[in-house]
Amino acid sequence: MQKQDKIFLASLGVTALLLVGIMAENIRSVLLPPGTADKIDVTKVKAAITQAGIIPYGAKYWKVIENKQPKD
Amino acid sequence: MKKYQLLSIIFLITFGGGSLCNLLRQQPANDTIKEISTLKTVLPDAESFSDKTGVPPHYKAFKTNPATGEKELAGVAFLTTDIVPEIRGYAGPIKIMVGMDTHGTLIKIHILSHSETPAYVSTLGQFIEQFHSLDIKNTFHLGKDIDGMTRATVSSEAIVRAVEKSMKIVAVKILYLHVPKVNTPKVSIPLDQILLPIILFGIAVLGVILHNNILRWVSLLGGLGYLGLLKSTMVSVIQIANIGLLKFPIFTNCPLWYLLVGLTLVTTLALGMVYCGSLCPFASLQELLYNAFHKIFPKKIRLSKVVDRKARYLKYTILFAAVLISLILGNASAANFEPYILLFTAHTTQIGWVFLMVILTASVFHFRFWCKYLCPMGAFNGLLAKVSLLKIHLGDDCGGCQICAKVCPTEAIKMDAFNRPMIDYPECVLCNKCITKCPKGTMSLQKTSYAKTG
Repeated sequence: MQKQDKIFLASLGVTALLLVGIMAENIRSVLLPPGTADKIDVTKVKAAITQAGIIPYGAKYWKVIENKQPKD
Repeated sequence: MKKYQLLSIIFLITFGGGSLCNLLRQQPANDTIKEISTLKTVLPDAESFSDKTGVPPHYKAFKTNPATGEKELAGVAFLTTDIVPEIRGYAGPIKIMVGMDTHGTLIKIHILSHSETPAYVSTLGQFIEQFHSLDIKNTFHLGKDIDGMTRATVSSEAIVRAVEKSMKIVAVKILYLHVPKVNTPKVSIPLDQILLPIILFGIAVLGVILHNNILRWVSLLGGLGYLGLLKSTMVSVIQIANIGLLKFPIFTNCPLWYLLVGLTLVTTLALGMVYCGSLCPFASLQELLYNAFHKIFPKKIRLSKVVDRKARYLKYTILFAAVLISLILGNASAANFEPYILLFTAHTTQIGWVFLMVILTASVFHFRFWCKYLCPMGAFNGLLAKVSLLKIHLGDDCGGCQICAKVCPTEAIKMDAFNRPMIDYPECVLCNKCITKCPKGTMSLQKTSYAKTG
């Protein structure tokens, strides 16, 4: 096999591998189409809740922080 | 030759089997599970949901009123495709779930499925974020209330219209709200998308029939300018996959799709690879690169015949794989790897850019590197060109000088045992060099062909 054949086959192989990579990305984008990103500022919400004098309890309820009355 | 018959049979089996698989794959049960799992995404505050009921079909969302402790209606969720199925994206329906509160304010939308080309809708996530907090009183003007996706105007418009119209219908019929009149944009057929392809194909066909290289370059550069730079579209394997999926754009939205596909099929079956040889923008770019480089460095790289011939089968493998995967997934996006899309839309990932650079670099050294070895559309057109009506005819007084084989840039001509040229039609791009350079003028384009195929 000549040198140019080897270089050619190497470049063809690289191209084919990259093509497989792009196809894999595309398949992923088909199976997981874009939704909407949440725009909630978690830090801000946490600060507001603490300011209000309550903390989450049992993942479902709110509990008043000791020595701190909830504010409106 | 039998090898092309075999490749054609494999393609037909792949295409037919994949289409059948797609039809069988469409199970409503799976869609319902997907819908239900998305309800919480579009109405995150809701605690429970009803089944899909009513006219128009919708899900009711409930949450507990802290004052009374009773469940009350918090909003509704619905699919745009259930309410306005006539509104479609460029490549087919876009299934959008919309969450709306009881005052007609949009909470969230979520794209459940679409058939658009990912490179064109790469900013879809950002685009749909703009819908948050819009309500039924908004006009939903694209470019005013909402910024469209660049190079995906049809898809952007379809999403906006589908969301607006379905929201307003549900608001009136389910929530009994008063809504302003739905904004209906005027539909006009883009005439340039009809006239320019006809003109370009006309020039290309004339170039082939008259063996005129100037006309060939006019159509090549026209294709690069109009199809490539202006429209960022080309005939591609995505269109083959969409035909297999029975997904067609609306003619008034995209006449170019129909013109490109139709004219390519007709000219390929009549003359051979007219589109590949004289119109394809990416081929045009590759030829420009190759010619520019070889004007400075005339020495050409010659591959051994065995390597060259065997490497050419790779494009058929890519064609079969792309079609089969797209049809199995039910979405032509899997076939969205063609470098022209990456180049002309400038929307791709890092892998895509590297891929494009490798191809363009290789095209400098090898004539039409992508077309010869990798292009799935070239493979498909080649199989059609094999049965074209007109072929290059070889007269009786061929002297066996082999000039035709030497000047053929795609090396589609080889000499048989009697020192007569055999043309491999699926590799011939109709550049006409063999015809114009033949010292005896014995080659011509005719209905019956003496020239054998390789």
